[in-house]
Amino acid sequence: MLAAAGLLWAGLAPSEWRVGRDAGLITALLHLELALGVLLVPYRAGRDRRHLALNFATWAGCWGATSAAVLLFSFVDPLPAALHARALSLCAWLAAGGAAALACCISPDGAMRARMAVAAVFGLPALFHYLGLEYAGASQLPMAGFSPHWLLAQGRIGPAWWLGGAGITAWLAALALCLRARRPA
Amino acid sequence: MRLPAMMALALLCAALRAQTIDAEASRFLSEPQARPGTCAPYRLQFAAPAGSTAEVEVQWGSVLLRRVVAVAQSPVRVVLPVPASAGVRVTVRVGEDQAEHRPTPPPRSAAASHSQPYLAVFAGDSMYARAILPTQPGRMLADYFEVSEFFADWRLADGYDAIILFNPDDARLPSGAQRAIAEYCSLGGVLFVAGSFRFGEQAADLPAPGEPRPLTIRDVALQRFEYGPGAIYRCEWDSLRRSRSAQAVVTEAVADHLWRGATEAPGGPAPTRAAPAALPLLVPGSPVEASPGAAFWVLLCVLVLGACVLPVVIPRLVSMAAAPAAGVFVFAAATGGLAALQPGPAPVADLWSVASSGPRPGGPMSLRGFVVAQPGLGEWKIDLDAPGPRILARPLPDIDGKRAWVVDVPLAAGSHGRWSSLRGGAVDGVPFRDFATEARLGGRGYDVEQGRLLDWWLDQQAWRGRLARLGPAEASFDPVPPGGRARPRGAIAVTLDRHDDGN
Repeated sequence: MLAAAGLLWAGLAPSEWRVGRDAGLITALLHLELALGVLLVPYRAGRDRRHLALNFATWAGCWGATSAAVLLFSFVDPLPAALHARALSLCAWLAAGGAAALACCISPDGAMRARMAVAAVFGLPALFHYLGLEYAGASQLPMAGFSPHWLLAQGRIGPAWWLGGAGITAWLAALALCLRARRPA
Repeated sequence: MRLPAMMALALLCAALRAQTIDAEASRFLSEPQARPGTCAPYRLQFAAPAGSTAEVEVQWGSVLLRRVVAVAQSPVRVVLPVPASAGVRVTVRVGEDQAEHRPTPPPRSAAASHSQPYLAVFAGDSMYARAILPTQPGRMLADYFEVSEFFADWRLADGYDAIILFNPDDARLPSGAQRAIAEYCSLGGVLFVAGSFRFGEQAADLPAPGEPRPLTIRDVALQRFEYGPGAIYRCEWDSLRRSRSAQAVVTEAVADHLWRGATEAPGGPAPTRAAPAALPLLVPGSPVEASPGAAFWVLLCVLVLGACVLPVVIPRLVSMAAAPAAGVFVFAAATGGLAALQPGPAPVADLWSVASSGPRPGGPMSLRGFVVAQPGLGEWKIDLDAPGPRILARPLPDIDGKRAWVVDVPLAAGSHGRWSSLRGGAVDGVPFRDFATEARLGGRGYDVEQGRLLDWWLDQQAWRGRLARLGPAEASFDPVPPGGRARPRGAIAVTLDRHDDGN
């Protein structure tokens, strides 16, 4: 999907949609990659280790494939921004995947709710910032750390420790739930 | 017993390391004054093993680099152009050892002034020079040096309005002085010579000065040689010595050039080589586009094929449910690693330039360039010993998040289009603001970028008493950081005219 989007943006799309074969293309692909981390990965509901392992492998395979697709287009960028943004991407994907995997352990239709919650956390801070500036004259810039898209827009493509930590905690919590469910009563 | 001894030794070693640069002996030679925003001669003293090569770096947005060979065990002394600004770092690296020093700018500011030129005075006897050409605040400021210390690099004289040379004994100047004088004058500087001199080198590639023009100041007969935007004044030593006030002769000769032959100082701020406070409108261009190479297409095919085939093939070989996804991850990691090795396009540096020349066609020129670098360019190292154009890059505040410099290039070349004349605040008879507005919109023979430069230049220079010719130009030299590709955006050429040349 990412490769197709990159090719479309770089050359085939109508001129008003074209991004151009420059550093802007990488930025566009990185935003798309972050969004796919929330939307793309198919998780399976279940409260056992097999499902968790499958979910984790699927998550890893999807992250690896999207990373490879983004890195394919690194020829357009004088800076290795695609490479440097791997840490941010990993943290965002860990958070999105961890929340979804944990939700899959809790309820059969939890993945969709988790996706919605993560999308809200990633997307709403920028909206709050805009509304705060528009109606209260108050900046919400400290909330930028919650949203990987906002961090990317600010050029802060290093690791987002808060997101990474939350993601790892969620994955561990899912593992703990699976282990607890397996223990005989 | 052994432990305290070792600790004492370690402490001693640390102390020796810290003393590599002698901060007490290192100082600006222009103390206690210097012109802010420009380079001043700085004597750095440091210890280095005999026979070793020390790399001295002056970090000021760019890096000025000099290599010094320590010939003896005694302290190494080297004179460098160091900016008289806060925050400048000087680093000495000898092998693996490194020491850092932060020079303190001189306390007094020799601010640019039409009525108080800042002079570097060289004489065989500097005490005698102090007596006949004393510093007099409000009239002139001077730093005094021996003739043997004559600058071999124009960047040492960066902050001075004029260089004064008292040389009654026909002493030979150090090697490199001829080029330094030529470059300094091509950047608009003034050289005043009382007596004569011999150069220590034969620099046949330097442009010759213009024909001598006689003039008399306070009954002292002088000759003025035009040298691009700068000039050389010469008089006999005896006639200067016999004059009532050598100071008046020297300051009036310097003013003759800086005021362009006018009898009173021009309006507006006095010229200085420091980075301008008000910049032209420098709009960085869009990032450079790149084309995919063969590696991109091969890796794209491999990635798409692998992502489609592996989830089908792996379950037939391995029964574990997570195996296909894990296989895709390993395969994608390998492909992504190879993809990351693709070379990116060379970073681009946008370049705007103003070429300055003298009234004589074909004479020496200099260039002041504004460089805005796209991200990705490394540190700009300027080798002070390199034979090529001896440029000086002064840092500017970041523009649109990109690093920027203003660069002075002496003895540059270039060509210009049709001249327009600036007289009495009007260009070709049109008020200068109207002319600039038309040029900024792409009229009057200028494109938009050239028009923006022209607008800025006129805004800074179209003061009372300024006469000039200006036109669109093409610069032939691209001063950009190494590894970058210059993208010329706009260039103009200007010539400041004299009031006594029939203008």
